[in-house]
Amino acid sequence: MGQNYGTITGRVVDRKSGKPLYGVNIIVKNTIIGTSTDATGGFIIENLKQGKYALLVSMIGYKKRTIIDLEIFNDRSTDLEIGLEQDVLESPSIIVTATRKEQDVMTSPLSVSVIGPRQIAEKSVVSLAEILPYQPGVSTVKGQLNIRGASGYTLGAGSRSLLLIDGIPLLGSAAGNISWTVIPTSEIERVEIVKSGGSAMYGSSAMGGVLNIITRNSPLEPETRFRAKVGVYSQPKFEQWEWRSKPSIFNTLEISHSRLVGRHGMWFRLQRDDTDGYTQLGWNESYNLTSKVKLNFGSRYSGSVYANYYTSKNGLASQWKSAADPFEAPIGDEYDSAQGYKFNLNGFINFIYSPTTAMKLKLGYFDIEWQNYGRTNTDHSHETKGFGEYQISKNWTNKLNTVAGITTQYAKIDAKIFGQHHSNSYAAYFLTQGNMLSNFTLSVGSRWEGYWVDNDLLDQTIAPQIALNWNKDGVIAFRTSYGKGFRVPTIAELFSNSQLNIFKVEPNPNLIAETSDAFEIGSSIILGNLGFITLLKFDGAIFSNRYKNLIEPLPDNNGIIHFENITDAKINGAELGVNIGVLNNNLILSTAYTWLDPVAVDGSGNTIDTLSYRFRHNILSAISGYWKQLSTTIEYRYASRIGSVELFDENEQTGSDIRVPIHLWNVGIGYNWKGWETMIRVENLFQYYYVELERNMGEERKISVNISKSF
Amino acid sequence: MYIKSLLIICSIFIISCKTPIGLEPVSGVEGKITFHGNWQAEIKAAAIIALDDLDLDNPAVNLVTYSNLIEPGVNEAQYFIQLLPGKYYLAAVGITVDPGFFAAKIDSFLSAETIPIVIIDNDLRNLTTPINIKTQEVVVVDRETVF
Repeated sequence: MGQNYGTITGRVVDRKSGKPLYGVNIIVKNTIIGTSTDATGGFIIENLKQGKYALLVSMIGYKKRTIIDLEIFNDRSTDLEIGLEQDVLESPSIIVTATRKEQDVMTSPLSVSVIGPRQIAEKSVVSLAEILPYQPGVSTVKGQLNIRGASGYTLGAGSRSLLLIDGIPLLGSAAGNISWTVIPTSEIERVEIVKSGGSAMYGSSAMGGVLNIITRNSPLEPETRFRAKVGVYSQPKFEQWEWRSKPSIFNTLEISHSRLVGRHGMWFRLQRDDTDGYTQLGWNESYNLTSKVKLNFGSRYSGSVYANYYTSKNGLASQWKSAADPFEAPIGDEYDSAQGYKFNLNGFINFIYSPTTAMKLKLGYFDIEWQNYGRTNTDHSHETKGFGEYQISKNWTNKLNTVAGITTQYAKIDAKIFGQHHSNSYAAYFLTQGNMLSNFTLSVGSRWEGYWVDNDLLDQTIAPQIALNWNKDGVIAFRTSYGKGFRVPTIAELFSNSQLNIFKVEPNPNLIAETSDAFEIGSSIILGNLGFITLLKFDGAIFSNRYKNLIEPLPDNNGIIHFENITDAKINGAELGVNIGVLNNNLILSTAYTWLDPVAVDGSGNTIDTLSYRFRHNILSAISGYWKQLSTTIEYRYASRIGSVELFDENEQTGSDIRVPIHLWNVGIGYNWKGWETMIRVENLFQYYYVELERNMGEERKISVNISKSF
Repeated sequence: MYIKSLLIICSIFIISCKTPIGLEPVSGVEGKITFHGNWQAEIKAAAIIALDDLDLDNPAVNLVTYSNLIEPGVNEAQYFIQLLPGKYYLAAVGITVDPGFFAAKIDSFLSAETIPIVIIDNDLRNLTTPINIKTQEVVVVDRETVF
């Protein structure tokens, strides 16, 4: 114990049972200092100057607590016993993605949405892509993620949003798109969505935002979980559209086991999915094996290893047979299929060098292979990718911290439609965060990244960022940020050579990187105990993003598609979200509205056209009720009609390719009987028909029953 | 009790609201086209075109739309044309340019009143008999052509 510093030690337990709680987040308010409890519920915070502090203590499934007026004295240890009260409805409040450090969401300088395990469980989702469109500012077009309209739809090639698993990039295919299928939804502790540009911290592909999936750790007691989901798609509402004689069934079986092995925690999970699909080529059979080991080597060393193997066989669909038969496959393509596997291995080691310095080494490996068995599409691809990162975090004082690191990535691709290529990238970044005047936090950071394709330098760039947060006691917060972003073209965008329907896709090796300037102002308010209103949350933001050299697939005058650096673009927008909890949070009402103005502009900033595949207006509303063992949810999602598309535009003369807004209602009812959780859900309750991507019908109404139990 | 009441109210609200109408069944023509003989080399694709008036000497003037493009060399193929309710004339044609180019340039061809197609429909009675289409109705019309 050093001179002129004090220490806090303690233990966090479940208030009702007295059992120690493992993995509780503890942050010293208005500082950069934080830690988490070990398997005994114990924690230690060192290097605190004499004075008064407040601790923020939180964990998923428990009510957040603030310990105030904590006196710290030099050369002395203050010991605490903290009891947390269970509250399964509590949303996660600690995030790590925005600044690469643990912090309360109210102190984040960037807009962050958090999805907790309760939201995932209530929707009984198999794929994370099913829940993302229900987050403010987030949409998907045929599985392609759009945060604040950044991506649109680019034929599945190129993503402007980066996916992380436990802070490590989940390296997608050569197309750069996100692999939703490999994510084990039942093992997710929370999902953090950083909606402002993330290039300064995370580089290319984070230009439009970052999605970080935090997987759960093993509980202290051994646990086996079982889950079964079975459901059926409705027959089409219109007799003319009926295409099958027997019901379309889908089912999921899942089993997982977790336990401590010595000081280390581990879990593994096996999932099998089988669906007939709601379209003729929408069928899928897959297996997903996932495992995570959390390593605990004492107070200074810890780490984690995560592995996932996914294999599938599925129908290969491009578009419907015709508008008269929107659920059937084109003639001759009825037996088209694809088959492949994805393997992901990643891990990190934490080393606490001193009370003020920590280091982290991250490694990742990704291997993916697939083969198309189509009448006209026999594409094949095999890719391997590697990732490495070294990060160091230094607390200069209690209120000043720097995170810095270097990263490298390598990818090798051998694909029929791309050819044989390899790419390398190297990057260095830093972020300094200072807590000023007790309520202000200023963050300044930057990243340099260079990208090589086939040993030729494609681009190198520097992306700075500055952000400011002011918050008062976790009740009200204001944030503002400015950052530059960039995204290098993917192998698919550079070298694709294939046939898409009647259109040819040809390479464009002359593409250059996209760049962006992102600016936002936002505010959050969290109030509680207002008479009959238990909780009132408000979050609003306005943002303005400018893009240069956006890469989009465009047919030329000869009908041949190339990925091109189109003219510049700008997306202005606003988000507004309100959550109200009444009756002790047994009734929760939430609504969110997002407005986008996505336009392509000329060199003078004048509007040329609307950017394609973006929704101008998005409304999400939900009512959730909880009473004893019963839970119910009613959801509504509205997205305005897509203003512009690239392949098949509306034809007023024939009525073809009409686009309509999206109106979707979902309802769910759940019951917990002696630990057996049962959830019945109906999605697209009124069988509303729409398209997001031309000539691909949106999902038919489906009814499902989900049963799960932990032993 | 409050929660039950509120859920009942919400359910009534949802059910009684007029639900928006999304996409609905379309009207048009579908059928099978059978090809006899050898495909001519200059034909890159085949299609059925729909005209709102009959002037086969200059179909561009009255072209409403065309069906899915049929790849050359096949003996038969299914086709579909989406059309609004009305009266139309149908003709089987061969397209003499790349299909993707044809689709990308169709507006230019129509503006210039010159479309790179050849009539391959041999039956004059088929060509001169109009098809009447009603709302949400898909009429089945099979065609045969001899090269």
